[in-house]
Amino acid sequence: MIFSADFLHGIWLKQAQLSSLSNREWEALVLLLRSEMLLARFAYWYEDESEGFPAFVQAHLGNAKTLATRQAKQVEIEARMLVPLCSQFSQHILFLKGAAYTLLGSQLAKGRVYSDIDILVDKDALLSIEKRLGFKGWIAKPVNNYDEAYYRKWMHEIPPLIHSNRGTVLDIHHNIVPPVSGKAPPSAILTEHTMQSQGGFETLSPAALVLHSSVHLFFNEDQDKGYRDLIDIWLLIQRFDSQEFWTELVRLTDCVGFKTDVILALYFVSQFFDVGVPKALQPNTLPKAKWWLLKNIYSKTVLPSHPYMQCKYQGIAITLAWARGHWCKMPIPILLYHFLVKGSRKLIEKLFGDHVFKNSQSGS
Amino acid sequence: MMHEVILNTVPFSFRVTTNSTLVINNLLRVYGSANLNTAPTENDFAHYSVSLLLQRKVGRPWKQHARFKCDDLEPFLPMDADKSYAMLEWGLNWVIAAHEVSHVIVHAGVLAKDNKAILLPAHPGSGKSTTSCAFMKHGWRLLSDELALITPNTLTVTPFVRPVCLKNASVDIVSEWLPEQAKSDIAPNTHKGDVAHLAPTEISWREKASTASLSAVVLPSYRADTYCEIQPLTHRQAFNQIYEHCFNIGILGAQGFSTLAGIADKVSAYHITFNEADEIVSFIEETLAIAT
Repeated sequence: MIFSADFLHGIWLKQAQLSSLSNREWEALVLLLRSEMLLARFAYWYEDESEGFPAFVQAHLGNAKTLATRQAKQVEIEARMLVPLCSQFSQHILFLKGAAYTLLGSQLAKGRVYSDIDILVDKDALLSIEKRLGFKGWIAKPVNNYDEAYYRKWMHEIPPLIHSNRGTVLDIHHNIVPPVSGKAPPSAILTEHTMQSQGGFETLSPAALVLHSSVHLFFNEDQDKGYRDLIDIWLLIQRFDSQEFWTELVRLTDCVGFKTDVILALYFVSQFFDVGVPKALQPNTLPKAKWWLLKNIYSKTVLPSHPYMQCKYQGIAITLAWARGHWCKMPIPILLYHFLVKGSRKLIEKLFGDHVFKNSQSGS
Repeated sequence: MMHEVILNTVPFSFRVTTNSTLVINNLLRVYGSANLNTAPTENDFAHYSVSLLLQRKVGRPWKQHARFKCDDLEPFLPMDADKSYAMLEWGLNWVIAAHEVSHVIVHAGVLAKDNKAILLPAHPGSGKSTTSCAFMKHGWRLLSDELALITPNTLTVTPFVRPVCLKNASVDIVSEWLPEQAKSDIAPNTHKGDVAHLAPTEISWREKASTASLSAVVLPSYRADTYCEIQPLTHRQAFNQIYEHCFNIGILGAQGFSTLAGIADKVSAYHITFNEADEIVSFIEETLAIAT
């Protein structure tokens, strides 16, 4: 009932022996895929073969497809409403990650589900957009006053907004990494690498999408849903594979950095799903010891962290990745301060209850 | 001791992992051993996997509390251990309401006789479960106490036979009506008061896989000083009421809307204020020309 990494990769390469699964194993596989937000992906992936699956599995796949279809429709509706609201303040409204994949359509979009919509706007438009959206029913999710300051002062996004009627969650970014890290690229570079979807929405260009997805995965303290993100990167490469795409990706990493994160992402995609990667983006361009360490940590954290997944030493790898993610995102003095505040707050919440730090204005 | 059992309800089964003896004993008492697989094998599957675990809090080591989880989702705050069986029942309702989009799901009781089904959508405390039991007493079969599973764009209801959740005074009243039915231990002081779960009648279990066709909608409102007041509803009022109690119309969209509109158009609906549930039963049996 415990699945190996090879079995999991085999599913997407259509090499896994699904017909030999027992009912109990099918049940476990559905749980694993659902927890990784991959059940709808799987449902579309195996649309033609699913008749041979047990009836209860087919029922789950049907539910997953219905939910994914609904979500895709919702994203399109939200995007149509958001663009006119934001465009008077910001020159660019770029859709990122899941929302971008959905709006770009085809195999990339099929069964991609997510918990929020991510957009990128000009930094100086943030406050006006936030105000404007407030009038349209978008309210800030309640966060405590420290987290609020943390977002505003150091982060590359503002606290998530939630629509009071529709429940959609919106993350508004002004950059792809926290400015406090000192590694944030000038936003002009990001807005140079964009494209239009068929429906007329603006997203990052294929190479920039891959870069952003890699950054989101490895320049970060947790790899939760990382396996899904790797599949996204694989599908992005499949769809946009061309000489120009790779050239642009190499140029982009030369220009904005994050080469290590891109190399990591491409390495796992090539290992798991058998994809060719150009020499300039292969691990041997990195120092040997550094690469050995990164490879060993992240080869465990990009696999699902789930009781049904076979992965030794995953716990310790997750802890190390968490430490490195923080290390990447913040300079040491700020990091120490952040840990001190977070740690002591956690302790006080344990002692006095979770409501101690709630904003009195947040209405909760 | 940790137990893993499969609760073979139709159309959805549940793998229940629990360390609560109270939960296991009540499952056996209310569902009977026929519906409970206490030794699942490799060939046995369940649609959903849930756990109800008793744990001790760091700040309150002298008292255990119960936590309900479905996969890694935890929809409720922890409750006291003596409410763990009731919590499991509510949890199973939540699981279906949150995951199932193959049916339009309305928060309502459903009962049937001669393949004619009635839908009882109602707010908590309006006497819905008590009314359901009154129907059972008169030989109607229970399809569901809480979740009406309606096939999109039809009047067909699929049964999801599980116990009825009785609150406070209705526990004793219904026990007199249906003395044969097994009853769970009482979960004291929940957010709904003292609750007990009552096993469905034998005919309900026997017909647990037979669908029925919606023939009437009844909105019960219990009021101690009103014997029985019947008010027919317009199509629009009926639609609004069913819509208000529908869990997943937001996900099903147009399909959900047309299903509910179809019910409101084709089925007669009544708002009934009562203190004598038997009167509702005789009125409905008369209206639907059901032989008593």
